[in-house]
Amino acid sequence: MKKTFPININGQIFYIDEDAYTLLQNYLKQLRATFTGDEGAEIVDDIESRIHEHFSEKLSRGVNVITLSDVNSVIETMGRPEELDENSVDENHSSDGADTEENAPREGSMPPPPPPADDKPFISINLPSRKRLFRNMQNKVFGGVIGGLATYLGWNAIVMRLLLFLCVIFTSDYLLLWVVIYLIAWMTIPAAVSPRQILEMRGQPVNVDTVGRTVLQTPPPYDGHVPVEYEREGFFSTFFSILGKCLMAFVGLVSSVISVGIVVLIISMLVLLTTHGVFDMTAVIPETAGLFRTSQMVSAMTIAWSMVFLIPAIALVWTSCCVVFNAPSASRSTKVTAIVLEVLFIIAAVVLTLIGSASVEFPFRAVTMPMAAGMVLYN
Amino acid sequence: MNIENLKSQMRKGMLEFCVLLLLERGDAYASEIIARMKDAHLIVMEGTLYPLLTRLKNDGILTYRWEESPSGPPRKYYSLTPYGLTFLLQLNDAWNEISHTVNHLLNKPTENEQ
Repeated sequence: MKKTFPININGQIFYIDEDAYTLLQNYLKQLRATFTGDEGAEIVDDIESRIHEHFSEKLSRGVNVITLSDVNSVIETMGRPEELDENSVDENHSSDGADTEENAPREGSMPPPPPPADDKPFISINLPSRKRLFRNMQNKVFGGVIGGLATYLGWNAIVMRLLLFLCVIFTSDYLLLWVVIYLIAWMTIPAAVSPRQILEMRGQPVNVDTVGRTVLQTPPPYDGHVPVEYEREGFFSTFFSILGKCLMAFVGLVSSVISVGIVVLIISMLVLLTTHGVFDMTAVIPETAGLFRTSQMVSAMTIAWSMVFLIPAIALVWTSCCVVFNAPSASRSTKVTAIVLEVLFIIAAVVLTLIGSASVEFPFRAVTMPMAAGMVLYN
Repeated sequence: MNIENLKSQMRKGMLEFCVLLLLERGDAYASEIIARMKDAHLIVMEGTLYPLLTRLKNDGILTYRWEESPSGPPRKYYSLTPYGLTFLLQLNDAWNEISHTVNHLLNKPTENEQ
């Protein structure tokens, strides 16, 4: 007895077994990973409609349900992505000699590709694979930054985590700096999601053959992935994973409290701004009275400092919302913009503070310390 | 260099030429092209055809139009463009040259023996 799904291909309903459905979906995902871009989408659509024809032929012969063997035979007829190599080589890099020479300089001034080592010359004309830094989503505690770095450097992720953990413990004065570094790395380093990215992360040549193998061997990256290495490496990884979750919860709690506080502060500041014309920080913290020359400067500085805290707070809230609701996270450009804005506001705030308190020692040294640490990082 | 590679490369080189020859005889949709190729004993993975057609179309050699089918969803009918036709003629010349050379070489040993 098997579970069966109704699926819609080209507007026609087919009933398909669960395992057959998984295989078909994997196959299509694999094709999409192989054929990218608009052209690729068109190709996969055409192949999908051909699969539809195969299925309706099956159904016209009196079959009710598409089974695993049906899907297998369709895949055999259509060809596995690694067997459709000509096209993908062509699509990515061209299939004939002349084009290869044209493309070679663009790919990083490589000489014409050496004779292939494996038994698929067309595939091997593929790009010289460069290892790229990605976040390793198959081996992660928070965002997979360390896992990705370990994969990039060819280290063992557990060893790397232990070393970094000790490093952080011994320099616990700069804990915030570490956290900021990690968060920025998390935001800016892309996650290895597609088979192509996973292969690039591992530094394996990206060709249709390996892409195919990745897809067939690993579960589809965005389905519930069981981190393989956790099962293998036992105690330490479990320890790190639990520690990671605890820390995550703690950071989340603290950041939400802070962000609520900041939101309240901002609102009250806005209220003050509207009621008193110009917001005076000395009204909130009397110790700062007499430090500043003009009230405009005070309010400018206050706004700058608020933004310095507000941006990370928004980012944290946003990220935790994304995690909780499983929503797609902010785009790369948004993140970069946020970081640039943050840097600008920090600079503005520091400059205004320095000007404002030129003659008097600034009493907020304790507050500015972490931000100064942040500055070191940004510079 | 293994024999299977060489064979598959030879077939690949031929595939575009064959598809264009098929389409010169009349417009067709993908499944029809596959059926005609099978008739001509040209065995390929069906999947190789689709990227090829898309590429030929993007290069302006082929064009397609949608046509209703008696059963099921509309079909993409591919046809040669005028440019595609000149392209095919050039391929044809190249093929004649190659086949001439190969036949010449194939026949030579027997001439020597005689």
